[in-house]
Amino acid sequence: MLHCVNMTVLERQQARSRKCHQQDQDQDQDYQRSSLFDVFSSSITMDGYDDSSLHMPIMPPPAPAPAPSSSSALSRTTTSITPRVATSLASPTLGKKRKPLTQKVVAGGGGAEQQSENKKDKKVKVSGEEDSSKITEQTNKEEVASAENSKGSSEAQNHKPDYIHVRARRGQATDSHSLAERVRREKISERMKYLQDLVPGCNKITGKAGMLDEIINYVQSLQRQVEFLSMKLAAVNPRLDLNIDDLFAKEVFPACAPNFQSIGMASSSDMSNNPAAAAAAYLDFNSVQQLVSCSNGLINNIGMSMNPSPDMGLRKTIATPHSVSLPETFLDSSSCFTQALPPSIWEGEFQIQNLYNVAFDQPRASSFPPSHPFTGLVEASNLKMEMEM
Amino acid sequence: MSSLQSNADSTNSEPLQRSNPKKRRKIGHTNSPTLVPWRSDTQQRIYSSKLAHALRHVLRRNHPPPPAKSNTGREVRETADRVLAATAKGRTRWSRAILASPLNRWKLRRMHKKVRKAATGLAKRSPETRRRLPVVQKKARVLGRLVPGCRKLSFPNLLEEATDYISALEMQVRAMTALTELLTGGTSHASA
Repeated sequence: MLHCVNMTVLERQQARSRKCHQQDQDQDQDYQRSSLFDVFSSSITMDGYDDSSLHMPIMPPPAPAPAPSSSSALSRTTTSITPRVATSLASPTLGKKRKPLTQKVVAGGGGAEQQSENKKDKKVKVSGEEDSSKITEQTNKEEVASAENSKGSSEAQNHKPDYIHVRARRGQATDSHSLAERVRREKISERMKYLQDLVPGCNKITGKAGMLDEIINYVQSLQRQVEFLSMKLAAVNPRLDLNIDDLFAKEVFPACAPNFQSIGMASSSDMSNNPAAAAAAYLDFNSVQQLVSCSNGLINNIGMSMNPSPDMGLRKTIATPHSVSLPETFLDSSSCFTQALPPSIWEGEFQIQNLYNVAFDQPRASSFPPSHPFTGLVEASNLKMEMEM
Repeated sequence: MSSLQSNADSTNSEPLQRSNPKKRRKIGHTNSPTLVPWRSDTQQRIYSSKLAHALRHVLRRNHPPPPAKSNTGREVRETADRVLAATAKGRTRWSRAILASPLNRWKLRRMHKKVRKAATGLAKRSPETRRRLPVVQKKARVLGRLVPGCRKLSFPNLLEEATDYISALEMQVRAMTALTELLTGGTSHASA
């Protein structure tokens, strides 16, 4: 079988050389002479197999029977084992997945190493398939010859780096598999690297199993955290007004008017700690972004909604960039909220409106008086928050 | 191990080969770090705002709390997940899976787990077959179960989905922590 393959190789090489690559012949002739001659000698020593006839119709070459003539012809004409030859070799005779094999071979780019790998693999397979001692002899000789071939081909490969292997495989497209697997493994390793950067504490761990363990633990812990936080949110929220969310939203998109609307709604709907806390939360969030006007407006509203009686003494001024203190003061007010609502003070409201030019809607402005106790905390421009605990 | 995995994967990928190209066509364009910049501040704000909007509805529904059920936590969790998936704009598989199955995923999951446990208890499992499953494969399956909608996914795609999911989860935790701090910061201070 082997020598048949050799024959076909030689035949195809002849055909190949006839097509083109006249240029390379001179270069490779020397290489080829030595290698092919060995191959040829080995093939000559073997008996004529029937299989050779099978290969004959594939390539209409001059019969290699007259060995010396053919060898000379070969040496004259054959170039190094070109990939095209290899592909032509591969496609008709050998196994199933030739096209993908060749494609991948071409795509994968050349490497003498790969070629030698392929050759060795192929030799192993061929030897595995054949049992007779003769064949083993052949394989031995074949190995030698093909080793030389590989050298020659590898040397030839340098001229044509885009080609990979010489010999076609027997029915096993391991080449495409190995190539595909190599690509796949690279993909996986790349993604594992990403994950390693993402998951803390994975730098020391090498190996997919350990990494996967860490990843699984991390995902589980994150999910548990989300669960815990959602429970917390569910427990907390009913206390606070839902419009806090509005405040958050508007926090992102600094639109003052909707804020006031929401605050108005909040204050009108719930007369409890909610507006204060909402404002507190809003302002705290504001510390991230410095929405001065919004915070001022909010504080105005909060001031408007606060209970005057316990807070009469409170002087609340707004420090615009630092709203951290605001929540605390508002918490004070929230603590006061549980008390009875004092009568509202109208003056402050108007003052606030004048001072801040807030776009209070008429209905909202009118809604403030009836529902909101009012502290006269309005100051002109610079308001500072004072802590009172 | 890599050879084992490659063998196993090759055997496992064969039935998936039909579906894999489709999946690759769908997901092939994704490059995990460039999908959604979960770490950016703007993303977190977008998520927070959307979450706030969504939570308002949920909490309004549960505000006069029906004390018999205590679903609020689960509902909050589900809304949070759905908002997260919406923020992902459906580019990833897990986000699509979350959005596509609004029916209580957790309940279904528990049911599925029970069913599966019963089934596997009956099925024959020789120790040989157990050993044949490479360790990495087992863990890949566990991970596939954790990431929503990624149970029958090839390993590299699964890793990609997991990457995006992890960064999304991190952002979710950050946003929800900030939210809860803001909302509960008042009460804790008041009590103190």
